Amino acid sequence: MDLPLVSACFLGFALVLYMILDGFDLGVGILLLFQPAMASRDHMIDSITPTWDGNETWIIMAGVTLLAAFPIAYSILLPAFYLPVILMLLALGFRGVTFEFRVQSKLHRRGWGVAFAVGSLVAAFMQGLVLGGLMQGVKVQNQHFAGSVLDVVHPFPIISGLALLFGYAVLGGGWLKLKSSLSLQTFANRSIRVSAPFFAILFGIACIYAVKIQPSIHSKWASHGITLACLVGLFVIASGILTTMTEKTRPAVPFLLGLFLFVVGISGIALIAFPDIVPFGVTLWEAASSSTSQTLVLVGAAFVTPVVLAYSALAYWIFRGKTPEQGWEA
Amino acid sequence: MRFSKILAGTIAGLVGVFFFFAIIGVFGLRLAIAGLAVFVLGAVVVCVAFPTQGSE
Amino acid sequence: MNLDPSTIARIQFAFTVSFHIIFPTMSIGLASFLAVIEALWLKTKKPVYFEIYKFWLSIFAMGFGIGVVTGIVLSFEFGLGFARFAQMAGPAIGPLIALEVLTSFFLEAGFLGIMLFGFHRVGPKLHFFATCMVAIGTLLSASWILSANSWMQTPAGVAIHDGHLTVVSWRHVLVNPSWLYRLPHMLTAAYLTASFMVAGIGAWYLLKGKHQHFARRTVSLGTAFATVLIAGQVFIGDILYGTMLKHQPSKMQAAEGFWEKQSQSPAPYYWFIVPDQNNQRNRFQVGIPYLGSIWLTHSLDGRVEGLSNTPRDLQPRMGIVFYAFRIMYGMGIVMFSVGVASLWLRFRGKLFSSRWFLWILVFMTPSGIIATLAGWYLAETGRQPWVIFGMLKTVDAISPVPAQALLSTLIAFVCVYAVFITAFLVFAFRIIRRGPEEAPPYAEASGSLKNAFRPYVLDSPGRLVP
Repeated sequence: MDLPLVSACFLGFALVLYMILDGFDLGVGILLLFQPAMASRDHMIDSITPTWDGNETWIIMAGVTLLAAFPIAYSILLPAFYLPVILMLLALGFRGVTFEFRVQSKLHRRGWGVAFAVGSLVAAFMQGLVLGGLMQGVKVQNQHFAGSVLDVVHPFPIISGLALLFGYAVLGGGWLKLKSSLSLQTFANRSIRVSAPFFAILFGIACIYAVKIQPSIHSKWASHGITLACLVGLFVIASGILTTMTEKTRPAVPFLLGLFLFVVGISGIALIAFPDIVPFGVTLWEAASSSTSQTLVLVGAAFVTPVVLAYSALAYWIFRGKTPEQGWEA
Repeated sequence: MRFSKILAGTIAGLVGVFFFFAIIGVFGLRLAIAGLAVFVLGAVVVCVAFPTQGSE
Repeated sequence: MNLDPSTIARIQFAFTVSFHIIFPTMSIGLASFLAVIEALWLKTKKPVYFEIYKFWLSIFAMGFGIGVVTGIVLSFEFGLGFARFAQMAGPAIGPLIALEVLTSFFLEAGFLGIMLFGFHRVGPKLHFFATCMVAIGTLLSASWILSANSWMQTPAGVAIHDGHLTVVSWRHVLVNPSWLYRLPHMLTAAYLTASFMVAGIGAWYLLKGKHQHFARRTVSLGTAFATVLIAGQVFIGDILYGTMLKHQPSKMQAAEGFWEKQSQSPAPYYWFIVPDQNNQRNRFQVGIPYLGSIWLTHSLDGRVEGLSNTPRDLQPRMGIVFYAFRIMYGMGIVMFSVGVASLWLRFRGKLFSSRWFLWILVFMTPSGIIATLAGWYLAETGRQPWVIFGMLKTVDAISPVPAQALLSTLIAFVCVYAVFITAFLVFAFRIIRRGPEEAPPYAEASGSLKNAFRPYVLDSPGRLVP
């Protein structure tokens, strides 16, 4: 069995799950900044209260899988993305505390809400920077990081960061349309109609720009042009549908379309990066640890993943349906 | 404070010091293990035999 | 600005890991304490045990939450600040760290929600099972991490080739020479921490004349556990000392404050030194005569080996190693004395009425945390200049990241962690002020662990009932 490939699949699975699950609650956090009415903000927060905490589990799973299964990649990628990773971790932790304070304190609820929103925005932007930095390519020499920590502060990663912000806003808007009651529907619809085209445009710019700045991407288009073009096409169509949706659209459709956008986008990125785990010079197999290390992690993951998935599924099922207008407090 | 109380307290303290020295191995490993066992047993006995007032 | 990246990287890691260790230490101790309390409640049905459980559950939940968040940072920080270490040690300890995280998630997803929020929703036996599983889970988590760190102290089971490690024997990586001694030492430290925290808060209530029944029970339980545990701890500590003397002599040489290859006979036990590492001597030293020989060589005239036995470029810095050890050991002596005193007062029937003793207990509330931190500083600074003892030096282990980046993120860490600790203290003091009778049977502020099960969410009339 090709253990590095299996580990990479698990790593990918954890990352995709993270982006989908945490994406919408980061998106709701970002959208808070654009919602002036306190009651509506409360309603938005209520929609993510029951389920947002478990989502971060997946990014940690991805991180430790990287450490245990691909230590060489871990030791290159983390210094390469030193600034965005640390800022993201701090933003995520900070979000947790602000959420707690917001729940407990009536007086400064607005302030803590803003803090939660800012934390969400920073975390989302940093994730986008990392994605952009990956596609830009990481400078490696002798299996060590040989670039600068400021490599992410370049136009391409910044565009990627902005794109992800709008992408999460689409997911957030879709979630709100699905879960919120009548009063927020207009806001949800508007968020989707505004974010989706921006997401698509920025994503498109990033795609074109990527080909220009990274020769490996150019050659990937040459060899897999048709597949990539199809993915781009699907992306455009889905964004188009989202931009033109109306109040009459079925509640679940925008959210599902948003998820679809992400799946398409991630597939494209994965297709471009494969077989490298550190784009564009270190393959999965070059960066992998021994088979026993891989087996230990995969066995552990095999035990834990079903339990975590079961808890998450239970939580989402218990809280299916619309979020109550009057909130959760009795 | 009555002299007998002070004396009793001091003796208790010295016993404690002796146990400490024994447990950290000053008198050898065997006495360390024995000292630990006796100390723990003694502590358990004291806690059970002298129930703290008003805790019921 | 001329900043040394390796120093800043070390300070940053030291800050985040010191902050972090406080919380799992509390969690491991409190989880087991809660399991004991719940067992007592189920067995005796006395309401005071239910009160104790509710009260400490909330504090446990918050500590657990902050422990998780700050722990997440650490699992990335190996790579962020010490990439060369991560690359070299990854094959050996990567799986151990991964298993620790996975174990922690397993118990978090599986049992923590029930323990924190499931009190009136699941049967008492299932709830107790959940509490026990959480206690065991924290223990398991600690075991993995202790194994990884112990491997750094006493590496085994690997072969080096060309700067790369291959694992030759997983058994020897996991059960390396120091693990089986350091693990009970750390676990006992956690249980001691919880015991003194519990006793200290109880003593506070007694001094204020409030919540008498709760306070008496917790002071009694806390001091009883602490007394038994501290005896075990100094025993384990002495055995561990012997092990480290064998495997990491430089650490213990630095810890005692002697420079000469062979100290004078009989040797004193130093309590205060002003070391001068450059000149390999102490500018000033104060100690108790004879006690060095007695404690360190178990004889009246034995000589102690000083730090000159280690080549200068392999010496840890004596100042910090010495004082870390003295603080930990000194706190241990104080704890032992408090334990003996508690036995004596119990014997004379004066445990709850001796106000001087209750005040001591109040001051001893954070004693476990102080001792644990000091012990970890001994462990980590004493291992220097190595990060993997005998294999990789710390200066060779850091990431190719410039000093300015390290410094600015260090400042960011301090600011955000200040918010964390403020949150914890604000909520903890609120719980303490309110007292045990008002405590709900579920965790309130919990760092948003397992929100789905929070009663105010689950019970909400607006929620669609299936």
